[in-house]
Amino acid sequence: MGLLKAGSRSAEAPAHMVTVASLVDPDPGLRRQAVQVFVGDPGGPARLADLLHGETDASVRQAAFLALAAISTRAAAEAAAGLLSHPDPALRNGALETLAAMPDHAAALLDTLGREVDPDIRSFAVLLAADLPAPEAAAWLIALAEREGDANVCAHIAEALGGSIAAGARAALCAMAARFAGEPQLQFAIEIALRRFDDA
Amino acid sequence: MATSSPLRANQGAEPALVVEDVIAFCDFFYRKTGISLDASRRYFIDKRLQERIAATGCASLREYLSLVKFEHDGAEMQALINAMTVNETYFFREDYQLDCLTRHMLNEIADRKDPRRDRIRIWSIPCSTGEEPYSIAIAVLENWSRASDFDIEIIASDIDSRALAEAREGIYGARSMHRVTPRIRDGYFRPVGDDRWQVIADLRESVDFGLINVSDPLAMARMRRIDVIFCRNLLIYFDDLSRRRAADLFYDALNPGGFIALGHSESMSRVSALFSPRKFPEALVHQRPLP
Repeated sequence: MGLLKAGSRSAEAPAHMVTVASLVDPDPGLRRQAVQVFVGDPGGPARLADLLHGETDASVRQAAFLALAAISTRAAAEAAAGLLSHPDPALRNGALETLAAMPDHAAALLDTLGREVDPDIRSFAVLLAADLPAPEAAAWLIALAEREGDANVCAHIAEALGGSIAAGARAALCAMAARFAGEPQLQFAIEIALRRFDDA
Repeated sequence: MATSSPLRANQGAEPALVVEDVIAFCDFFYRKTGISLDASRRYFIDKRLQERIAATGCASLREYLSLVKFEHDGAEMQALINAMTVNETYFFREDYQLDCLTRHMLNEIADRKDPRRDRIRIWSIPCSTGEEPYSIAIAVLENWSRASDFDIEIIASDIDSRALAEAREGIYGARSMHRVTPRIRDGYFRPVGDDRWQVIADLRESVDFGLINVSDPLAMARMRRIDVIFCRNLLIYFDDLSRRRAADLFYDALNPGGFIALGHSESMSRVSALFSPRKFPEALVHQRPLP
């Protein structure tokens, strides 16, 4: 008893053989391992999205989101984006984080997300664009600012564009303020955003 | 890190590095190791790269990168990792976490185990030149009253093979030893001259040193059934995604109820929601929840 000598330790037990069938195993540890099967599979993103729609264990969900981020293709980004409308906020946040981890593919989806009927998804798209390093993201936000009709989405746009160095950002916010003159909360959000231009 | 001008560094005899090539190198290094090299370390990166380019006889960074990407044995990749990693530590660094280990974490773990059947496994990663795992071993022997009741494994891993070789040798100078009391020094070290001390063989043999790349899921899959992980000042070198991946792999490595201790400037709650924060009198650590 006490500290074991390095040479006297027992070998590691062999890992369980993990297959696609392990995805429905009651052990979340095996389900976590099973998602790795899809990383090199062309159909992986769709299968991972299916899994995420029904999975309730947080650790399995995280493994699946990390697998999508590791795949990092247009299909993986679309699979993650498909979860932005899920009723579970933890899944929506996971999808958003995953999209942020593949900025090029996420940026390519902004136009589609910005035309969704559900204003919550458009808001997620704004949050995503705010974190994307691509310069097209700011241009996309300005374009959305010019046409967006939902005050809540506009509040997110104001927060994202406030203080932005992108040409046209201030003008887009001023135009938005004029368009929503009857929305005091949005006016306040835009006023704060415009102040950040002066502070910058 | 990107600039639009073809920034060149070191106009001496060594090959100058073009910024686009350095960016390509940083991307490559990130993919291989998860370590994000940033612009504030440009001088460090250039200097170490130029040393490796010169050592391999390559004429340019592009030629060097081709060599690293297509070599069969991975030897130059390992040399590159060794050159790019920092190994600055000392004995009993952030020792409040060691106090937390011996006063609380180990007792909780021991209460869930059968000493006749179960081992306690402690993992130090990155272990650098060995000061941390040896400090853990000494702290357990000195300060945990139940140490003799259990078989205890101390595992120590690093991505830097050169640091691991030094760790196995266990010879340290005054800088590493400045927090070691004379009593501990006399009990666990022997003088080897020139104000240098070597960890005694009995303790050296109690730490299982090994090479590991946290970004390699297959290598990390070997690490299972760990009770306590010391992972201090590693995640600060990673970007958000690499941190999340590493946290995920540490989650799998830990037993349910196991603990992970991070560096004082690091927080698991910003990286992963899978762990529960545990506030002990000495330290805040993170725990894989029990089922």
